[in-house]
Amino acid sequence: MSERKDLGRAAQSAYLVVVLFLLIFPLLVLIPMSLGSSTTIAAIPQQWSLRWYDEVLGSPEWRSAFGWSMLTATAASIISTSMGYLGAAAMVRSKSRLQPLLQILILSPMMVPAVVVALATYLLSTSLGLDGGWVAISIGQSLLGLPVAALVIAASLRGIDETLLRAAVSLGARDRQVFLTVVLPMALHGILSAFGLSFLIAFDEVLIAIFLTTPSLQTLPVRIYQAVTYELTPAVAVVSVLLMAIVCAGMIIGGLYNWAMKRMVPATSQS
Amino acid sequence: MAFQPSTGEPLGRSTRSAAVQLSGIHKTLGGTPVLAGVTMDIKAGEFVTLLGPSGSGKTSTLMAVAGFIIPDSGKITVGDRDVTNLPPGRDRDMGIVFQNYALFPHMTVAGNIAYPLRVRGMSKAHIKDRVDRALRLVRLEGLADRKPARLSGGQQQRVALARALVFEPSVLLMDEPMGALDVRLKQELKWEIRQLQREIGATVIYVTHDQNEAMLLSDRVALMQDGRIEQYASPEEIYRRPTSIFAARFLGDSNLIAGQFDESAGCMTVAASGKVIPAAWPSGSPCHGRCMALLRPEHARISAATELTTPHSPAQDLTTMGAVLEEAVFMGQSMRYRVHVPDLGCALDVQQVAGAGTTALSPGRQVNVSWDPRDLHLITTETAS
Repeated sequence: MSERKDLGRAAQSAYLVVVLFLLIFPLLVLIPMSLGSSTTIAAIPQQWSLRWYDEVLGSPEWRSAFGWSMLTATAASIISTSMGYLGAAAMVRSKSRLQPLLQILILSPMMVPAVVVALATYLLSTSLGLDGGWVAISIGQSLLGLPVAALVIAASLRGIDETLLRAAVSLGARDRQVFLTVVLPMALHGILSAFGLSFLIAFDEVLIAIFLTTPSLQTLPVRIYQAVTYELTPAVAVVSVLLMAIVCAGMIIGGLYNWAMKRMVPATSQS
Repeated sequence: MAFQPSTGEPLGRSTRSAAVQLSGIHKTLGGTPVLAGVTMDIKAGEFVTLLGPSGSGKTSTLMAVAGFIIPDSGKITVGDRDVTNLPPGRDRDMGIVFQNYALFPHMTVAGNIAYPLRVRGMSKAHIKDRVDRALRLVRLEGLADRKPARLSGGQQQRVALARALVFEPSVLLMDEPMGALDVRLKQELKWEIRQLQREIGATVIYVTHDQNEAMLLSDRVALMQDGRIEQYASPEEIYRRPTSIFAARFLGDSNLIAGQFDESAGCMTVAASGKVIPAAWPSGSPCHGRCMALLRPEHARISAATELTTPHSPAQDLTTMGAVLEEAVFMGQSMRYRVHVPDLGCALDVQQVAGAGTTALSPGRQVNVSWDPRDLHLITTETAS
């Protein structure tokens, strides 16, 4: 009986390992690819070297692409998060009859194909004479992060009991103080998550960036895409590995933050 | 169990308390009237309880005073200020203890209590001093740095109370503050709240559906039903002289006997049996024919039928009737009997202190039930039906 159970469990674990391996394997292959010394990409390079790391880190094109991506993603996630907060507040607290409509409106960028959003942003920005540029890219990318940010923040706002807001008001807090001392600290976790998620969405967004790209402004994903189409050297593998390293570091920091928070506030209230 | 008198300058007594007046408050929410003309005046420093079943409008009345409900019509004044349409919050100058305390989970006990002072921009030193005194007042000195989630229900309630009192509001509003607590804790806290209020001298409006709480705490009770006040008087007055059947039933246990009052003869004809019994109309209330006689269980006495032969002294002038004992239950401090009285055509509940000398009465026995006619309180039913 127990043997069969053990066997079943072992099979489950094996299955899990295989699936995880298949998912992660393509990513892991990038690591040896990035360590080659020749100009062509090989899964197992004939000669190992850090040449392409030097090349990429020293290259002004790659560095500026990274810089532009950081800039547009940061701007986009600031817009997504602040707009998302307002949308979430309306979704959670509004008693208007138009509220369901608003919800659909906020979530619509998620349902409309990304190409359409990209095209719309492109046409609008040219008709406004913006001709691409980081502002247009940021605004376009913020649209994609908006629904995610709104949903995440709405979830955390729903966790705040409305009597807490009433209590704060009754104790003499002005609206701004209620926001700063009760809503913000209690929703902070959700707001930070929303910021992080919309940052990631904007950071690896290609479509809008391609439409709005200019010779002097290339975001990292666009640069990678062009590198793959025109040159295909181990440089792209190096960039990918570096990005994975950054993401892993981010996840570890996030995990540590969560762990520390849980230790500081043990077990939520009993009531 | 009592609050220690706080050392140093007390939070209390210096507190300004204000009279509160409600006149003709109406409010309709979603098509249903929740307040249908609430009128009451509360003296400065008075402890008034809004008592009633759920849906009677007691919490709505409190929220109207707090400003969270703006009345459709009517007027609310605090002191000599009209606050009817004032937004809730600082300008209203009221402390509120919410039903589930509404403590800020991300702040410590001290942080919660300091909150009203902090948003008013008071200096750190002042805040610390006041918070310390408030903590002493509710006897939570050692728990200043705890988060609310790590407090018991009773402790949370005290934090909520301290937080509502620390800025010395002129009026304290409490919305079923003991609803979530167990019976023993309630008993203890009732005495504490009562003493605290006496100490502080604040005007308190307290909402509850628990009649014992209302009795113990209040100077006056406003008994509410269907969005209006049925009776507004001291607990004793409502208990002894309820003006409606609802009031008679809601506060305490009651026997109600339907009948017709005959003014000239000073007696009442029992509807079910036609028997005439002595009764007096309460002075000061309008006299009507059809009525209900209220007899509290503890005002009736029963004795074994054989004891009838020993005549009562005529001075006592009791009304006595034969009855059959249906149930006898030992309640601890008293015996509870249920007797069927043919002359009244109904059953009566009787409560009697069970001393050692009490004759054991068993169900099925013939007994006599008697009462002082002055304990029979008549309530008119003429307009009610």
